[in-house]
Amino acid sequence: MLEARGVHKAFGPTRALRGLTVEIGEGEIVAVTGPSGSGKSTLLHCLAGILRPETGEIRFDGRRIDSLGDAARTTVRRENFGVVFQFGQLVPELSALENVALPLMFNRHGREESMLTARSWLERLGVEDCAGLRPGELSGGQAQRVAVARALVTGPRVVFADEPTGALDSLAGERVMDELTGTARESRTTLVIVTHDNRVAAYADREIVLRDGTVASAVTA
Amino acid sequence: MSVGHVVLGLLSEGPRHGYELKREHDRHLPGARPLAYGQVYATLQRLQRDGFAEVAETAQDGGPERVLYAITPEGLAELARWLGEVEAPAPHLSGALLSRTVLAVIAGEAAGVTPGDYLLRQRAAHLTRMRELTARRASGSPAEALAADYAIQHLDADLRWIETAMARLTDLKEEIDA
Ligand SMILES: Nc1ncnc2c1ncn2[C@@H]1O[C@H](COP(=O)(O)OP(=O)(O)OP(=O)(O)O)[C@@H](O)[C@H]1O
Ligand SMILES: [Mg+2]
Repeated sequence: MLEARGVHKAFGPTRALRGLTVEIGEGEIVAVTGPSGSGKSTLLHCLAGILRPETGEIRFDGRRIDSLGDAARTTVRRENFGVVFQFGQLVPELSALENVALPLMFNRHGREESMLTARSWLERLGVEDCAGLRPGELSGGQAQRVAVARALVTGPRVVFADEPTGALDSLAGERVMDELTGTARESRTTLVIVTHDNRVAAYADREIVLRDGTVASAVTA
Repeated sequence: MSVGHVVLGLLSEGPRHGYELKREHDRHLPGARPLAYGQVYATLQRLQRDGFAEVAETAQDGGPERVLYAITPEGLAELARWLGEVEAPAPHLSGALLSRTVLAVIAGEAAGVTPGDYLLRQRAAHLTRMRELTARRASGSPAEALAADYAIQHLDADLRWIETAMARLTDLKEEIDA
């Protein structure tokens, strides 16, 4: 369903991905692990159509997305993907609730309806009390949960999450992972989680270990 | 994990006297309890009985008899079998994981096992166990969740050690080859 084949991606002299190939099935929950700098975030951004590799192919539903123009790629992303980024991602001028409602409004849902759905997602992630706060007023862990709510709100077919529990303590992390994986399993959403926390990787069906921009091993449960 | 496998691993580098085996054991596994001489000879006897080791040479130049021991092809096969396994994932394994890793560096080439592969397989075994515990925690009572948490956090400590060990393999190999 989601496929990277022979992907190379460099940033100047840094070869972040070196001929990497992975295949992810519909409804699969996959953890991408590996040392810092091994290319995890870069792989996630390539799979999500945010970055374009120099060589190699990225396919979603059999269709190449790396060769699409920016506008077409953005459309594919908006309609099918939810993304939780590793670093800052909420719109600072909007409240937590508006941030979560935004992707729905981008997809032409009405404002009222969008706000209602957004509120229910804040509740599921235990941050309904933050609805009216701006990102600058949220703790790191609260912001992370709002970001997870925003990624799930449109009912995407694939959710990409980069260190979704990085700023959370064990119990809060467990709650976010329970919600992410519970939602994914219920609706057969594909979930790709980048993490260096083994306890997070243990939620996945399968682990892809990266080392120096290639796959060191792929292990199935 | 047994002293027998450790001794076989040390013998895979070449024939050794009993006292050399003790010295190398204590040097390569500084965290382990030092081997007593009696233990070395008892282990060598057991290995001979099972056909895994044999006497290569006996010398007696005036002093006490000095016996040189060597690994047999059967011994090498047993070593390869053992290095091809992983440790059953349970908390508090540090000693066993450490021994396997060091032995995979010392004897891996002779046994056809690379230490990096061993560590990746051990990681997979640990993670599989963690998956089971994570699923059990989600569906269990608070008491079960608490028990699962304990096991998960200890396995996590092992896993983080495995990651560090991978990063140190090159240094370890240099030290052992020196
Ligand atoms: N935008 C960028 N500009 C320049 N170099 C980059 C950029 N993004 C990533 N890199 C480099 O590419 C390599 C892989 O980075 P990446 O962010 O994919 O690693 P990672 O596995 O996600 O690490 P971490 O666990 O620290 O998040 C690193 O050497 C990094 O410095
Ligand atoms: Mg990263």
